[in-house]
Amino acid sequence: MFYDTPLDFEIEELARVAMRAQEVDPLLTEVVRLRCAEYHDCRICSSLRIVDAVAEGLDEGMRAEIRNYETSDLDARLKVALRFVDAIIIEPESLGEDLAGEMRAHFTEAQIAEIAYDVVKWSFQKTLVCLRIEQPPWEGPAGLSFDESGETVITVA
Amino acid sequence: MSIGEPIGLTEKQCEGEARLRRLHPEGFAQLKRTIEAAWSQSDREVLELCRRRMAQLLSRRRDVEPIALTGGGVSLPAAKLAELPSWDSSSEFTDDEKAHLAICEQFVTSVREVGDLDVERLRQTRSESEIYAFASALYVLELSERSILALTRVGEST
Repeated sequence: MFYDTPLDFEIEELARVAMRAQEVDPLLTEVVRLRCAEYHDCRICSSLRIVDAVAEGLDEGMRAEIRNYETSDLDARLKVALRFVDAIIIEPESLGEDLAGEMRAHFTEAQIAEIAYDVVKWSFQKTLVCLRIEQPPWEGPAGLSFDESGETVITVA
Repeated sequence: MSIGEPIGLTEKQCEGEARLRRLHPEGFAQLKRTIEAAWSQSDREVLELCRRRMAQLLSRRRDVEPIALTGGGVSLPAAKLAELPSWDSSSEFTDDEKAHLAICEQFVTSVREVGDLDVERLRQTRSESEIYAFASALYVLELSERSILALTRVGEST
Protein backbone atom coordinates (compact mmCIF):
# COMPACT_ATOMS: atom_id res chain seq x y z
CA MET A 1 0.00 0.00 0.00
CA PHE A 2 1.09 3.57 -0.54
CA TYR A 3 1.73 4.97 2.94
CA ASP A 4 1.70 1.90 5.21
CA THR A 5 -0.68 3.53 7.65
CA PRO A 6 -3.00 1.64 10.05
CA LEU A 7 -5.87 2.37 7.63
CA ASP A 8 -3.90 0.93 4.71
CA PHE A 9 -3.20 -2.18 6.79
CA GLU A 10 -6.87 -2.65 7.72
CA ILE A 11 -7.98 -2.21 4.09
CA GLU A 12 -5.47 -4.85 3.06
CA GLU A 13 -6.75 -7.16 5.80
CA LEU A 14 -10.33 -6.53 4.67
CA ALA A 15 -9.28 -7.75 1.22
CA ARG A 16 -7.61 -10.84 2.66
CA VAL A 17 -10.72 -11.69 4.70
CA ALA A 18 -12.86 -11.39 1.57
CA MET A 19 -10.61 -13.70 -0.40
CA ARG A 20 -10.45 -16.34 2.34
CA ALA A 21 -14.24 -16.70 2.29
CA GLN A 22 -15.43 -19.71 0.31
CA GLU A 23 -19.22 -19.43 -0.04
CA VAL A 24 -19.05 -18.10 -3.61
CA ASP A 25 -17.29 -19.83 -6.53
CA PRO A 26 -14.37 -18.16 -8.38
CA LEU A 27 -16.37 -17.58 -11.58
CA LEU A 28 -19.05 -15.60 -9.77
CA THR A 29 -16.39 -13.75 -7.77
CA GLU A 30 -14.70 -12.75 -11.02
CA VAL A 31 -17.90 -11.58 -12.69
CA VAL A 32 -18.63 -9.41 -9.66
CA ARG A 33 -15.07 -8.05 -9.67
CA LEU A 34 -15.12 -7.25 -13.38
CA ARG A 35 -18.46 -5.45 -13.11
CA CYS A 36 -17.10 -3.24 -10.32
CA ALA A 37 -13.96 -2.58 -12.37
CA GLU A 38 -15.91 -1.59 -15.44
CA TYR A 39 -18.43 0.62 -13.68
CA HIS A 40 -15.79 2.46 -11.67
CA ASP A 41 -13.40 2.63 -14.65
CA CYS A 42 -10.47 1.01 -12.86
CA ARG A 43 -7.72 0.26 -15.37
CA ILE A 44 -5.61 -1.98 -13.17
CA CYS A 45 -8.61 -4.09 -12.12
CA SER A 46 -9.77 -4.41 -15.74
CA SER A 47 -6.34 -5.69 -16.71
CA LEU A 48 -6.54 -8.64 -14.30
CA ARG A 49 -8.19 -12.07 -14.66
CA ILE A 50 -8.77 -14.40 -11.71
CA VAL A 51 -6.87 -17.54 -12.65
CA ASP A 52 -9.35 -19.94 -11.02
CA ALA A 53 -12.24 -18.27 -12.91
CA VAL A 54 -10.46 -18.73 -16.23
CA ALA A 55 -10.06 -22.42 -15.31
CA GLU A 56 -13.82 -22.54 -14.67
CA GLY A 57 -14.58 -21.19 -18.15
CA LEU A 58 -14.29 -17.41 -18.05
CA ASP A 59 -13.09 -16.17 -21.44
CA GLU A 60 -12.84 -12.77 -23.11
CA GLY A 61 -16.23 -13.20 -24.80
CA MET A 62 -17.88 -13.75 -21.45
CA ARG A 63 -16.00 -10.81 -20.01
CA ALA A 64 -17.31 -8.58 -22.81
CA GLU A 65 -20.87 -9.70 -22.09
CA ILE A 66 -20.73 -8.30 -18.56
CA ARG A 67 -21.06 -4.74 -19.92
CA ASN A 68 -24.55 -5.42 -21.34
CA TYR A 69 -25.34 -8.40 -19.19
CA GLU A 70 -29.12 -8.04 -19.29
CA THR A 71 -29.20 -8.86 -23.02
CA SER A 72 -26.28 -11.29 -22.88
CA ASP A 73 -26.08 -15.08 -22.88
CA LEU A 74 -24.79 -15.17 -19.32
CA ASP A 75 -26.75 -17.60 -17.19
CA ALA A 76 -29.61 -16.41 -14.99
CA ARG A 77 -27.65 -16.83 -11.76
CA LEU A 78 -24.88 -14.53 -12.94
CA LYS A 79 -27.36 -11.94 -14.22
CA VAL A 80 -29.13 -11.86 -10.86
CA ALA A 81 -25.80 -11.41 -9.07
CA LEU A 82 -24.88 -8.58 -11.44
CA ARG A 83 -28.18 -6.83 -10.75
CA PHE A 84 -27.37 -7.05 -7.04
CA VAL A 85 -23.88 -5.64 -7.64
CA ASP A 86 -25.36 -2.77 -9.64
CA ALA A 87 -27.85 -2.03 -6.89
CA ILE A 88 -24.99 -1.71 -4.39
CA ILE A 89 -22.59 0.33 -6.49
CA ILE A 90 -25.16 2.51 -8.26
CA GLU A 91 -28.25 2.98 -6.11
CA PRO A 92 -28.91 0.71 -3.10
CA GLU A 93 -32.34 2.27 -2.53
CA SER A 94 -33.44 0.92 -5.92
CA LEU A 95 -33.13 -2.66 -4.69
CA GLY A 96 -36.76 -3.80 -4.71
CA GLU A 97 -38.64 -6.91 -3.74
CA ASP A 98 -38.29 -8.43 -7.22
CA LEU A 99 -34.50 -8.45 -7.08
CA ALA A 100 -34.52 -9.42 -3.41
CA GLY A 101 -36.66 -12.44 -4.31
CA GLU A 102 -34.38 -13.38 -7.19
CA MET A 103 -31.35 -13.21 -4.93
CA ARG A 104 -33.00 -15.40 -2.32
CA ALA A 105 -34.01 -17.89 -5.02
CA HIS A 106 -30.51 -18.25 -6.46
CA PHE A 107 -28.25 -17.77 -3.43
CA THR A 108 -28.07 -18.72 0.22
CA GLU A 109 -28.07 -15.97 2.84
CA ALA A 110 -24.36 -16.55 3.45
CA GLN A 111 -23.62 -16.24 -0.26
CA ILE A 112 -25.57 -12.98 -0.47
CA ALA A 113 -23.59 -11.59 2.47
CA GLU A 114 -20.33 -12.71 0.85
CA ILE A 115 -21.19 -11.09 -2.49
CA ALA A 116 -22.01 -7.82 -0.71
CA TYR A 117 -18.71 -8.02 1.19
CA ASP A 118 -16.83 -8.79 -2.02
CA VAL A 119 -18.29 -5.64 -3.59
CA VAL A 120 -16.86 -3.68 -0.65
CA LYS A 121 -13.48 -5.34 -1.18
CA TRP A 122 -13.28 -4.77 -4.93
CA SER A 123 -14.54 -1.20 -4.68
CA PHE A 124 -11.31 -0.08 -3.03
CA GLN A 125 -10.60 0.78 -6.65
CA LYS A 126 -12.71 3.92 -6.07
CA THR A 127 -9.88 5.36 -3.97
CA LEU A 128 -7.40 4.71 -6.78
CA VAL A 129 -9.71 5.99 -9.53
CA CYS A 130 -10.55 9.12 -7.52
CA LEU A 131 -6.86 10.03 -7.49
CA ARG A 132 -6.19 8.43 -10.90
CA ILE A 133 -3.37 6.27 -9.60
CA GLU A 134 -4.67 2.98 -11.05
CA GLN A 135 -2.55 2.70 -14.21
CA PRO A 136 -1.34 -0.94 -14.44
CA PRO A 137 2.46 -1.28 -14.61
CA TRP A 138 2.15 -4.13 -17.12
CA GLU A 139 0.74 -4.49 -20.64
CA GLY A 140 -2.12 -6.85 -21.44
CA PRO A 141 -4.06 -9.05 -19.03
CA ALA A 142 -2.30 -10.41 -15.94
CA GLY A 143 -3.29 -13.37 -13.76
CA LEU A 144 -4.84 -12.77 -10.35
CA SER A 145 -4.86 -15.38 -7.61
CA PHE A 146 -4.80 -15.54 -3.82
CA ASP A 147 -2.72 -17.59 -1.39
CA GLU A 148 -4.12 -19.38 1.66
CA SER A 149 -4.02 -16.19 3.75
CA GLY A 150 -5.97 -14.32 1.08
CA GLU A 151 -2.91 -12.37 -0.06
CA THR A 152 -3.02 -11.20 -3.67
CA VAL A 153 -0.66 -12.84 -6.18
CA ILE A 154 -0.33 -11.19 -9.61
CA THR A 155 1.27 -13.13 -12.44
CA VAL A 156 2.42 -11.18 -15.49
CA ALA A 157 2.93 -13.27 -18.63
CA MET B 1 -29.47 14.38 -7.53
CA SER B 2 -32.64 15.65 -5.83
CA ILE B 3 -33.26 15.45 -2.10
CA GLY B 4 -36.78 14.54 -1.02
CA GLU B 5 -38.72 14.29 2.21
CA PRO B 6 -37.07 13.65 5.58
CA ILE B 7 -36.93 10.03 6.72
CA GLY B 8 -35.27 8.00 9.45
CA LEU B 9 -34.17 4.50 8.53
CA THR B 10 -31.99 3.63 11.48
CA GLU B 11 -34.06 0.66 12.63
CA LYS B 12 -34.30 -0.83 9.15
CA GLN B 13 -30.62 -0.24 8.47
CA CYS B 14 -29.73 -2.19 11.61
CA GLU B 15 -31.20 -5.28 9.93
CA GLY B 16 -28.52 -5.24 7.24
CA GLU B 17 -25.81 -4.69 9.83
CA ALA B 18 -27.10 -7.59 11.94
CA ARG B 19 -27.30 -9.75 8.83
CA LEU B 20 -23.66 -9.14 7.91
CA ARG B 21 -22.57 -9.74 11.53
CA ARG B 22 -24.42 -13.08 11.62
CA LEU B 23 -23.60 -14.37 8.14
CA HIS B 24 -20.05 -13.07 7.69
CA PRO B 25 -18.73 -12.51 11.23
CA GLU B 26 -15.07 -12.27 10.26
CA GLY B 27 -15.93 -9.80 7.53
CA PHE B 28 -18.11 -7.73 9.83
CA ALA B 29 -15.42 -7.55 12.52
CA GLN B 30 -12.83 -6.51 9.95
CA LEU B 31 -15.14 -3.89 8.48
CA LYS B 32 -15.53 -2.38 11.97
CA ARG B 33 -11.76 -2.27 12.48
CA THR B 34 -11.32 -0.63 9.07
CA ILE B 35 -13.95 1.99 9.84
CA GLU B 36 -12.23 2.75 13.18
CA ALA B 37 -8.91 3.15 11.36
CA ALA B 38 -10.54 5.49 8.86
CA TRP B 39 -11.73 7.76 11.68
CA SER B 40 -8.38 7.64 13.44
CA GLN B 41 -6.57 9.02 10.38
CA SER B 42 -9.03 11.68 9.32
CA ASP B 43 -10.09 15.21 10.05
CA ARG B 44 -13.06 13.95 12.02
CA GLU B 45 -15.38 16.91 11.47
CA VAL B 46 -14.77 16.88 7.73
CA LEU B 47 -15.30 13.14 7.57
CA GLU B 48 -18.57 13.41 9.51
CA LEU B 49 -19.78 16.06 7.06
CA CYS B 50 -18.96 13.71 4.21
CA ARG B 51 -20.53 10.69 5.93
CA ARG B 52 -23.80 12.58 6.34
CA ARG B 53 -23.71 13.95 2.82
CA MET B 54 -23.07 10.46 1.43
CA ALA B 55 -26.13 9.13 3.28
CA GLN B 56 -28.25 11.96 1.88
CA LEU B 57 -27.12 11.25 -1.66
CA LEU B 58 -27.56 7.49 -1.38
CA SER B 59 -31.06 7.80 0.08
CA ARG B 60 -32.02 10.92 -1.92
CA ARG B 61 -33.35 12.27 1.34
CA ARG B 62 -32.41 15.32 3.36
CA ASP B 63 -32.66 14.15 6.98
CA VAL B 64 -31.66 10.51 6.75
CA GLU B 65 -29.32 9.14 9.41
CA PRO B 66 -26.23 7.29 8.14
CA ILE B 67 -25.91 3.72 9.37
CA ALA B 68 -24.65 3.48 12.94
CA LEU B 69 -21.77 1.19 11.95
CA THR B 70 -19.94 3.98 10.11
CA GLY B 71 -20.23 6.53 12.92
CA GLY B 72 -17.20 8.08 14.60
CA GLY B 73 -18.93 9.77 17.53
CA VAL B 74 -18.64 13.26 16.04
CA SER B 75 -21.29 15.94 16.63
CA LEU B 76 -21.72 18.78 14.17
CA PRO B 77 -23.28 22.22 14.72
CA ALA B 78 -27.00 22.21 13.93
CA ALA B 79 -26.66 25.16 11.54
CA LYS B 80 -24.10 23.27 9.50
CA LEU B 81 -26.22 20.15 9.34
CA ALA B 82 -29.23 22.17 8.21
CA GLU B 83 -27.29 23.60 5.29
CA LEU B 84 -25.46 20.43 4.28
CA PRO B 85 -27.71 19.69 1.28
CA SER B 86 -26.82 23.14 -0.11
CA TRP B 87 -23.22 23.29 1.14
CA ASP B 88 -21.92 24.66 -2.15
CA SER B 89 -23.71 27.97 -1.77
CA SER B 90 -23.66 28.16 2.02
CA SER B 91 -21.46 30.45 4.12
CA GLU B 92 -21.48 27.87 6.93
CA PHE B 93 -18.69 25.91 5.23
CA THR B 94 -15.02 26.77 4.80
CA ASP B 95 -13.24 26.47 1.45
CA ASP B 96 -11.45 23.39 2.77
CA GLU B 97 -14.73 21.74 3.79
CA LYS B 98 -16.23 22.59 0.41
CA ALA B 99 -13.25 21.06 -1.37
CA HIS B 100 -13.73 17.83 0.59
CA LEU B 101 -17.50 17.81 0.02
CA ALA B 102 -17.03 18.34 -3.71
CA ILE B 103 -14.81 15.25 -3.92
CA CYS B 104 -17.22 13.34 -1.69
CA GLU B 105 -20.21 14.06 -3.94
CA GLN B 106 -18.34 13.06 -7.07
CA PHE B 107 -17.02 9.96 -5.31
CA VAL B 108 -20.59 8.86 -4.58
CA THR B 109 -22.23 9.76 -7.87
CA SER B 110 -19.48 8.93 -10.40
CA VAL B 111 -15.94 8.45 -9.14
CA ARG B 112 -14.59 8.25 -12.69
CA GLU B 113 -15.49 11.92 -13.10
CA VAL B 114 -13.47 13.26 -10.19
CA GLY B 115 -11.30 15.85 -11.88
CA ASP B 116 -7.71 16.97 -11.40
CA LEU B 117 -9.01 20.39 -10.37
CA ASP B 118 -11.12 18.80 -7.62
CA VAL B 119 -8.04 17.12 -6.16
CA GLU B 120 -5.95 20.26 -6.70
CA ARG B 121 -8.33 22.19 -4.44
CA LEU B 122 -7.54 19.72 -1.63
CA ARG B 123 -3.82 20.26 -2.18
CA GLN B 124 -4.25 23.88 -1.07
CA THR B 125 -4.54 22.66 2.53
CA ARG B 126 -3.69 18.94 2.57
CA SER B 127 -0.63 16.79 1.95
CA GLU B 128 -0.61 13.88 -0.52
CA SER B 129 -0.79 11.36 2.31
CA GLU B 130 -3.75 13.21 3.87
CA ILE B 131 -5.55 13.25 0.52
CA TYR B 132 -4.93 9.54 0.06
CA ALA B 133 -6.20 8.84 3.59
CA PHE B 134 -9.30 10.92 2.89
CA ALA B 135 -10.08 9.04 -0.33
CA SER B 136 -9.53 5.76 1.51
CA ALA B 137 -11.83 6.83 4.35
CA LEU B 138 -14.52 7.84 1.85
CA TYR B 139 -14.27 4.38 0.30
CA VAL B 140 -14.60 2.58 3.63
CA LEU B 141 -17.59 4.59 4.84
CA GLU B 142 -19.40 4.75 1.51
CA LEU B 143 -19.10 1.06 0.62
CA SER B 144 -20.10 0.09 4.16
CA GLU B 145 -23.21 2.25 3.83
CA ARG B 146 -24.02 0.87 0.39
CA SER B 147 -23.57 -2.80 1.32
CA ILE B 148 -25.53 -2.54 4.57
CA LEU B 149 -28.39 -0.77 2.77
CA ALA B 150 -28.44 -3.54 0.15
CA LEU B 151 -28.35 -6.30 2.76
CA THR B 152 -31.21 -4.60 4.59
CA ARG B 153 -33.33 -4.48 1.46
CA VAL B 154 -32.59 -8.00 0.27
CA GLY B 155 -34.24 -9.39 3.40
CA GLU B 156 -34.16 -12.88 4.81
CA SER B 157 -35.28 -16.12 3.25
CA THR B 158 -38.70 -17.26 4.35
